[in-house]
Amino acid sequence: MRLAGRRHATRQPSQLVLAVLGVALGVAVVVSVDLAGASARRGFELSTRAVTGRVTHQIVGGSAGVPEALYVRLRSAGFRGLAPIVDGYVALAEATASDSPRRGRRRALRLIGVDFFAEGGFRSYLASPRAGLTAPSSGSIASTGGVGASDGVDGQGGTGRPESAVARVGGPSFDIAPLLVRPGTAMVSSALAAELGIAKGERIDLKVTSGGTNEQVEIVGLIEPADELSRQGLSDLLIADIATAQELLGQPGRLTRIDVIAVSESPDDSQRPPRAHGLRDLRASLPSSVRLVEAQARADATIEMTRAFRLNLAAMSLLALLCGMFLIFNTMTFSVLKRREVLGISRTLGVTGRQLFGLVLTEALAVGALGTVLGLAGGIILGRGLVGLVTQTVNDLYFVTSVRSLAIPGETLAKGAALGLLASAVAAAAPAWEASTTSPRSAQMRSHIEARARRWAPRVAVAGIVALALAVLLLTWRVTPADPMQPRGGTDLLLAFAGMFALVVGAALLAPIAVQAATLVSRQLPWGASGAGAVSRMAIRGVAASLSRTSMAIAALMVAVSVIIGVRVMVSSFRLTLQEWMTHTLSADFYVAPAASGPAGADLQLDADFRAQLEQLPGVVSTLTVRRAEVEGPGGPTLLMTFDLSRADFDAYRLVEGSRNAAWAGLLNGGVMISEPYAFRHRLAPGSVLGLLTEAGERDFVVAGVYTSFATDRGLVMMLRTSYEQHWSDRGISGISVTALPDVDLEVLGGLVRDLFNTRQAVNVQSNRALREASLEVFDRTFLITSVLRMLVTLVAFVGVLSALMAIQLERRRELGVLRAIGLTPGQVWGMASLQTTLMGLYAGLLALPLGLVLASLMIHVINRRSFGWTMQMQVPPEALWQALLLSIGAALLAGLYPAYRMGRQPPLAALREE
Amino acid sequence: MNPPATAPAVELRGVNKRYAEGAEERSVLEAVDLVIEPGTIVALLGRSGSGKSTLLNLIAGIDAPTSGSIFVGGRSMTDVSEHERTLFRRRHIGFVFQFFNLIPTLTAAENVSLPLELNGIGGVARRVGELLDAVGLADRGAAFPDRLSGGEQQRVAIARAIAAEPPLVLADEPTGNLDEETGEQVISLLTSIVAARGLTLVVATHSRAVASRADAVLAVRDRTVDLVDRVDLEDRAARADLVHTDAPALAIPVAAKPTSTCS
Repeated sequence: MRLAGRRHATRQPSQLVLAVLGVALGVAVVVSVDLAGASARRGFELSTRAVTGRVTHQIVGGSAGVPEALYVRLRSAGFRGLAPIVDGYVALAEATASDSPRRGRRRALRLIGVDFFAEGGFRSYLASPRAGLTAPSSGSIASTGGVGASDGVDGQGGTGRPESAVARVGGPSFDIAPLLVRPGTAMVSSALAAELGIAKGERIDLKVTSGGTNEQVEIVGLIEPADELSRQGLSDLLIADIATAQELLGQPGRLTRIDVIAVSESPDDSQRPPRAHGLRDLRASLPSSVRLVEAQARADATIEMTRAFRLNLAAMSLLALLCGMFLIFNTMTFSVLKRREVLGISRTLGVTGRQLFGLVLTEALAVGALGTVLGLAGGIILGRGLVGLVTQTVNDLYFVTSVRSLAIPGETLAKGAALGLLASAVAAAAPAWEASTTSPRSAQMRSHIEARARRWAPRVAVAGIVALALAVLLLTWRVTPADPMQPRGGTDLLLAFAGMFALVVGAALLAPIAVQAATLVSRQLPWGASGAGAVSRMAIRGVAASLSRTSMAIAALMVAVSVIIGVRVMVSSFRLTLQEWMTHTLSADFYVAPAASGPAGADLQLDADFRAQLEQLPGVVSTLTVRRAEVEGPGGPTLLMTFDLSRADFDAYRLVEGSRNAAWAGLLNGGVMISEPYAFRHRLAPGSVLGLLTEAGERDFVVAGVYTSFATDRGLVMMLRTSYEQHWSDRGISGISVTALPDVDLEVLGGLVRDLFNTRQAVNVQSNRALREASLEVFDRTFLITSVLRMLVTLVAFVGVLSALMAIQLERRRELGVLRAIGLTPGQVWGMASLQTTLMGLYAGLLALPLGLVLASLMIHVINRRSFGWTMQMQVPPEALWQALLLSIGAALLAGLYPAYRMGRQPPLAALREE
Repeated sequence: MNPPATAPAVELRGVNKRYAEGAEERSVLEAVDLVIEPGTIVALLGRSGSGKSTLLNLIAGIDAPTSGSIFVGGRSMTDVSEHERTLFRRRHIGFVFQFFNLIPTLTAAENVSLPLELNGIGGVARRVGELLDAVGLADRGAAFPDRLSGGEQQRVAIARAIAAEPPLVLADEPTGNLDEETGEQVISLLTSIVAARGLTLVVATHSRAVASRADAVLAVRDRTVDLVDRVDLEDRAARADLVHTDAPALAIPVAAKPTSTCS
């Protein structure tokens, strides 16, 4: 039997190839998306690990950071295991050296300023080999091997540059002396240096984010990473002495944070959990303006931000696999159909149903295994392409990470392999059961399976309705996390995805009966009594007559097209909502901000006196400043936007919750407004109290209203400048918006604004339109990966239709032979096959329209809300519908070209000989 | 397009048919000369694989001879394009197969109407009704083939074969897949309809019963076609000249072969 099976497979190579291709594509999409997501995450983790090292806790203080004096005080008080850190982003300026390989690149680097004497056991690549030999400190916060010199440096607040440093540090593969003695020096990993073509001693032109000015940085040392992981982690790091970093980032006297290792008496035991009393002592010694937080939790919180994004990608990739499953089902059903005689004879000869079940399942698993292997390989290749898109989105929206190589975790490959094999087994279960339960007689009857498929259509439809009911249940079921401090959405989002899958499966199960109904309707159409009429009727009936096959192809195509409609309507609704929001919110003519992009630009400032100068320019009516700061809120860093709003400016904001007057009054009284995603993530509403860490310690702010903002899915807190200045000493300006008189030539004014800054600071002066365009560009980039996935899903569905049509063509050889014998011309056979394909595409497209709109509605009103908390207006562009319908028909027609050609070309004799 | 009225229904001249089997060539028919006059019922007898179906396929223009000429109703089937052959077949030749070969996606009535529609013949519903009535299936027109018995399916196939009133009907073992009694009913129906309408019927068969209804019997053996002079068909011997070979150089010996060789 197995031999017969193998021969059968090799005699139908096209079916085998298509099935393998279907599994391979499905697995490849899942694996590639997972790999890309994992690589972006790993990139972040590695760079975080490179920066945090063995740090267990951090002393943080929001956007203003931590005063350097605090570090000095803590060291003086006897606390050990502390390392001051200045951390920020700098951008490499356009390369000027003509031969430099970095020419034309523009890359963000993370600048870490450290106190080399305090580093010891914090970051292995900066550690002295002698660090481990250092005597344990007396404090509970462990000494991490700060070498003898560190005590001597303490008095200088970690910023001193003792001339004898080299001799005392020793050990490391680099010489730290130049870093300490020469300002504007830094080091990079040797791999990064090679990549950028930087030789030691070369001064690279760095555009430093603070103030946007260009600064020269000299590379005086190269770090040799000990292993591949360190190499990846260090790939974007620029390490400098703390004083240099403070200078470059414009943070004199301030630290970004103080790293803490709260562990054992010995650095060798650094993995042991922190000793509570040590941390308690430390916490008690901290002023109220700073907070002691766990380093890992902070890193986790950053990665957590991307969870919804990654989950959305995973859902798309699973849809591709679902389409792949249709393909396997199709192939295995076809395989059983084609061999019904062999199977019937085997049953007559005494082969048990169970053995036949095993046989078909084994064959499916063999196909699945082959497809899976190819899919894993394809997934890795595809993943390399997708990782760039994922990383770009993550950089645009969440945090700076660069992925130089694709991480290939075994877990992802195992998951892909399991999915591929499981999908193959599940898809083949029905045909295998079919083979095992068919009686010896009926197995040989040509029409048996199709007749059964027609009989089963109503029962399958009932199963579909049950699946739809389950979908409704899952979509309406909300699970609220027990811990109110935990952001919500996790389980609810999974439920929503499960509901969406149930909906898609339910709709697919309704496809057979819908095809039957459509056939009935189509048959009533006046096709005429001519030869063309007869051919048309045969084509129409053919769709319903080969239901077991056509309904699968139609279902696969329907799912793909509905996903295309759903995603397109969702993206276009999102885009339109965003455009509308920008039109409503962005009313100024120019926006001035320090030159930088993405999260790296978060803590940049403009010179304070620019505002007054701007207002002096001819034609300027008013200006508005914004301060974008990161402060400690519930669950970590919180983006705080501070405006000097007037009531008129405030009225441009769209409130989701709360009355306008009450919200304004609340703001004037020192309250805050929160954006919709923030309210969603932290379960806050007007009247709730939000605790933020101010310079005077934690303060409660009353939520005055919830407003619409699509600026970030992290969420924003907004307050008036006057309130901000009451709690923070920061007087910085992150951006200025400029409103001009109506009749002013904006080009000329724009030039004047640029001239004003050009001599002193690198800034971006963006016109209203340019800002909107830039925002939409980021938006489009974010959804680029969605388009790629959408294409892949369509490709899988396309292969499904092709496979189904090839199967039909093979299956109907004799019938076509008879038709040719009684006088159908090859052209008429081709026309019949093409009409049948067109009908399949039309049915799939028509069924996909309602499903696609429901999917779009769910993505907009359920998935998006549970992922990000945004409210969007659903807007259906008419072209999305007719284009999807055309795509459906076009894909089916295209897939049908070759089978139709073969049907037309098939000599009648060959078919009749099969008798 | 219309063949001359007086032409033989079927004429084969020096027809050879060889099939390639790998590197080898297998000869199925050699130097066959044959003339069948209109209105004749001819039975082709022969062992399995002897070339009966090949001969039918050559006559129908479904297969092409390696050499030689074939005329149906005076029209050459060998000098025209595949497309022209198809159109000619549509109008002038009806087919009945061993395995019925009804289109499973069409009802009995739709199967019968197919040749009418393809030929653009009007009054389809009435004619289909008459034809189904003629084959005794007036009440089964709406049934799909898988709901019909073998005998019923073959009767539908007969109705389909004669629907467009083709002058020539070719039947390839039409009773081969039926029990004896049903086979007898079917062949009786086929021959009576053909005779009543004055059509020519060439039927390939293993059945002596079928052969007994024929005007002439041809034996297909050893790659040649012989006219069988049967003892039990003496009363029809007078009509044996209706089936004759006319190439003296390739004259087929007309010998009294035992019919058992054909059974």
